Amino acid sequence: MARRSAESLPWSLFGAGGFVVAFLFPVHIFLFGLAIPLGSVSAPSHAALLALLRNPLTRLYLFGFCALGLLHAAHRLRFTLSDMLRLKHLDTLLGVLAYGAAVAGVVVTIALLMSVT
Amino acid sequence: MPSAIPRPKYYQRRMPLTWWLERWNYTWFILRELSSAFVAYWVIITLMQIAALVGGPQSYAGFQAWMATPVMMVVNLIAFIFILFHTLSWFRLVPQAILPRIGGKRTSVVVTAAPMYVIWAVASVVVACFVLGVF
Repeated sequence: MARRSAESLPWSLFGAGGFVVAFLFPVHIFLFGLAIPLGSVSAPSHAALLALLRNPLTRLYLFGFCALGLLHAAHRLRFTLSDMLRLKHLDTLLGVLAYGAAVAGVVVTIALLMSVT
Repeated sequence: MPSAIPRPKYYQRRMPLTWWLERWNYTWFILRELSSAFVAYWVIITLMQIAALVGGPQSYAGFQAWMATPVMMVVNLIAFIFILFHTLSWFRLVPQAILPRIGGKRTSVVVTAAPMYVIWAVASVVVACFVLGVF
């Protein structure tokens, strides 16, 4: 049986986040960042989007979307900064900063999604 | 006092901070990794959008007006390109890393990447239908 290393949790979250980003982020950015602001598609009303947000399944979806996206980004940015700027000696510090920021973001996400009434 | 056993000094090549600009392969690698900055950016935008929705119709109108400013449109276009880059490279590399061979045969990129494109298309259509109120 393969021994699980201490790094296996960050790695599996990184992998899951990579799939979430690959499958779901393009359509979100395309719609909310480009098509709707440009007026290419008719903008959904505030009432319609709020109704969608009130559905617990939507909030569960958004939790996964934001939390896994943040953890994926944190994991990748940590190693990118360490490689790109040759900061191997600061690897632990970068890890603490990156995962710390991601966990803070997850807490904000949970608080925000719970504030929907 | 006798000195300790001398330890060999390993040769370490000094690399300039711009090492990743020396070859296209390196540059692509760094650009792909930097796409994660835009992932974080978009999560922040999504959280701001949720906050604006909770804040009421006026605050959401403000969010929409802000997203339609030229600066945000340009940033979002750049973010979209980087995220597409992430998607295409993820489909190409990751399923092959998970399934290097099926039934003793090396899997081709086509076999592992094709289902990814199908799932991506279906997921995008479903999300768009929910957002645009088709469902």
